[in-house]
Amino acid sequence: MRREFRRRTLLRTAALTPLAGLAAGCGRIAGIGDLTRVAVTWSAAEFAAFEDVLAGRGVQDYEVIPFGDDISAAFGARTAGRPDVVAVPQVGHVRANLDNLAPLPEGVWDEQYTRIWSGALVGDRHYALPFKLANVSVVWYRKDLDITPPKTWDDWLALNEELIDNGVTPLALGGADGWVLAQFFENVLLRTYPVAFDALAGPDHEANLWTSREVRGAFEMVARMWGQAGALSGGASNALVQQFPDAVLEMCTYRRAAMVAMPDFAESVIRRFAPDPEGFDTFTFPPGGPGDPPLAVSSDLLVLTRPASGAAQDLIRYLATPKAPVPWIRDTGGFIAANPGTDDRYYSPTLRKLAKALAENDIRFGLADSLGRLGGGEGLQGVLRDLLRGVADGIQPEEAARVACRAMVDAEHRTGS
Amino acid sequence: MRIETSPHLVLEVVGRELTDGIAVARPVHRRRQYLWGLPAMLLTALLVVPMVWTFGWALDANVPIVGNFRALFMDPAALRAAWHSLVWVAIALALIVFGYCVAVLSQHVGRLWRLLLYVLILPFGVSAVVSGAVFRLIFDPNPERGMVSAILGRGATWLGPDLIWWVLASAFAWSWLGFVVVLFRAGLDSAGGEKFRLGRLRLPKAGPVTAIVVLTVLVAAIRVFDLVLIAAPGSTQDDVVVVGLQWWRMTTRSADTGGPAALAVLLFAVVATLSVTGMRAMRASNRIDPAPVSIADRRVTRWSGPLVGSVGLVWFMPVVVLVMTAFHSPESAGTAGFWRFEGFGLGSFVEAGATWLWPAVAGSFLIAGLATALVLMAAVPFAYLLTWVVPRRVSRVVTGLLAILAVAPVQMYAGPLGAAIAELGFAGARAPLALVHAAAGLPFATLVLRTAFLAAPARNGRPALDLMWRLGPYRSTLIAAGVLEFLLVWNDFIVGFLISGQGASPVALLVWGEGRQFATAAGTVTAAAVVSALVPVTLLLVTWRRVVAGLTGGIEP
Repeated sequence: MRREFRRRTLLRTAALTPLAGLAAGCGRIAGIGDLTRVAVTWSAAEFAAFEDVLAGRGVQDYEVIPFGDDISAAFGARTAGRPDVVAVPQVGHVRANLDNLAPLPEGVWDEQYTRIWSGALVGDRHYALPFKLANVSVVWYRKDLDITPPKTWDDWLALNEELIDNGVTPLALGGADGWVLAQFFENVLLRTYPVAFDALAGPDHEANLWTSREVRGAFEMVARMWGQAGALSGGASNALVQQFPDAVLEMCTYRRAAMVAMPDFAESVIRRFAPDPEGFDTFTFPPGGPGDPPLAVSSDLLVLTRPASGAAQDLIRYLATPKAPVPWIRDTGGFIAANPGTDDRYYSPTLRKLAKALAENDIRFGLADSLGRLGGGEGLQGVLRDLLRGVADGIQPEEAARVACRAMVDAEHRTGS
Repeated sequence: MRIETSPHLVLEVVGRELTDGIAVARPVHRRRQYLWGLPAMLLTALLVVPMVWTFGWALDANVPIVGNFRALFMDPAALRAAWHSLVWVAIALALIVFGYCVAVLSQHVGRLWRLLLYVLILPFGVSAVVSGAVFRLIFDPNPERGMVSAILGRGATWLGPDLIWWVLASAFAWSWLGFVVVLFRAGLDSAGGEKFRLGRLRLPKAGPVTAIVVLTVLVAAIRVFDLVLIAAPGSTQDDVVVVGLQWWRMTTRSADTGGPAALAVLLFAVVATLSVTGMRAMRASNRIDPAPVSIADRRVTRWSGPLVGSVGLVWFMPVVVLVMTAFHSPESAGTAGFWRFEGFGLGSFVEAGATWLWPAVAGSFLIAGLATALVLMAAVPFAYLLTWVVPRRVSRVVTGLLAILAVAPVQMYAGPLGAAIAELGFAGARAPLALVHAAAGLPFATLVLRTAFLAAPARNGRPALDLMWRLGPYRSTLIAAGVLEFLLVWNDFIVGFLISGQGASPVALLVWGEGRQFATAAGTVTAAAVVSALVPVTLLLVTWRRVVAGLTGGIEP
């Protein structure tokens, strides 16, 4: 009986040992470690480029976590595995999560950042560090077609027509990504009706602004360009299932389109996938009216979550130095440093031009930053997608614009913004 | 020598050799025995408490009880999602019929069957995220990259609002046909060639497995989530939104808990009804004793060979696409189709491995291993108690509840559970995720094990576990339960996604994240998919005979 007892004890111990081991390992499994966790929305090439940037610091005390589109999840309450540093793609997220943020360490804020975003200042401390800038008012084109860059919207329409007559499809559009459509519309509105743009981006605009002459006009301009027969590579229905990089490939690799309206970061796609990365240039998104309206911009901002550890602060301090983003600029491309001190000799000629344009012109954040939910799939992005589908089915631009305005008013009521 | 055993000694499954006689467990004090059901109870509570919470949210509205449900029936988006889920039911039924036909025909193909079997069973080990990715690649609208567009030309927009259903249905069929065919075939072989009438046709009976097949595939179809998320481009997702996805959108778009909770309750009600009906059907048909059949009457008909062969070829194609794309460099995979004989290399693996792939694989191993261990440790004593210790009436009620819990959609408990985990400071952590997985997997494992226990050779009261290990179907069943739990957790997307967010980083989640810029990331996505699929596919190919035997109560294919 005694032997029996011992055997059982042994068996029991044998079964429980791995369990105890598991319990002991839980701390590690739970992801509670000493590493500084950096949450980013970047994927693929941009993700790798950011890792290069961090590697330049020479200390391996961090891990980078891709968060996909759901960056707001990175701010979840008091979580053990919560990231220490978050790269936020929209200023709206910073505003919404201020309670969870720690102020930036002393000495990293440059007064010139105020020009990019003044909202980072709360009390007398700054809470977000602009890291990457994107020039959104950009149209890329193939140099081999001898295109004269259009100076006005009408020039651009005429150029498209001329290209179509010569059997060249003028535009590629990445309609599967809602933000691509939204940025196109924002550019048209900002570069044609800047006053209406500022009113819409303002904190408490009225819903009936969406039915104003200017906004309807902007929708109509967009519908007219997208709806022109033969204007979009693969047709509007194909444009709807093409993502941002696919649209760039239509121009730079397959050469089925002459131009593509995409921010400067399209350069990373061109550098990687084009047979001749030098064969492309850019022009500024043509204004629809007289004068020199502002350029559309977006920015990735770095924030520290509470309580900011010393290691996380060190990481931010490093990323705030002018030299930190050099590996990304030099090796991957498609990066404009927010830091005014970053040496511009690492840029490609095209990017240097785009970075200079941002420094010298008046700039505005896109509507998505100020509209919140109304700027997303339920609002502006969804409405533009329907507009693209509409013109693909042969709806006239005037009618498409009217429908879009009404849909935006509805969306404004629905989302309760 | 009399060997004393008692039911709480679960550990004896390690396989001690029995030297004499049939050991029968001695009656022990009941109360103490129930302690062995404690782990299962705790795990089940982890599921049930948040579900009750969700019920509470669903009933709490301006108009008490019905308010949220009425709002749902007025919401066109929710109605659309419900309609789409019904379409999925139709797709599942069509697949079941197709699978039955393939299984019947496969009886006539002789040696080809072995080969076909491995081809069909392989995709079952692949996660829905991976199969969605493969089919998105195959149907890429770009003729340079997409095989179908290259063959048929650019006229049809495959990922567009109309044809996307074909893409999704193909991906679903690719994953599930193997399961349907293998189980049907096992059933057909054991039903002894009995026939049933359907109109003018006289068709061979598949026996009790029919209920398992129908139930599993229907529930899988209604719970489709990640497949849509990865295969449909953002602009067409509204056209194929399903109830599970609509729930997620509702939770992310507003702080209101009532609407999504009501939707989750409705979804739960549908699958629970299905499950209970299915269990009834299984009990009713369980009376047929499986008997081995002679294979003398199998005529090799003229056309079953080519037909079944072509199904095999079509089913193998996505594997070719996946592997070939992965072995192209990222630049080549992003711009040209897998069939181009240039740009081969290991670059995609190197690139995927350079960033997040290995930590994610390690994380998946930890989560799946931990969850499987927990499930087996809790389910074995629980099933034993249910079979031999608790009064029969209680056992029946508990079994019924387990059948309902086994199919409960994640949406039913994700809300409160995710909130609680975040509140406790564990969001993004792996151990709690494994715990939730274990809780979700426990009901199914217990049910399967209980079936095996019922079939154990018990002549004189309760048998000892070690005897069953040697003689009964218990060993196969334990393996089946373990393998299926490991596969489910390894391939899981939705639990990790809804409970933990991105931070816990199991592979499936990261494959999806990488696929955000889908086509140009084809190289790294497929490379990561190949690596992530290697483990479950190998496991499945090695153990599938046991799994089938364990699920069907001893039918060895």
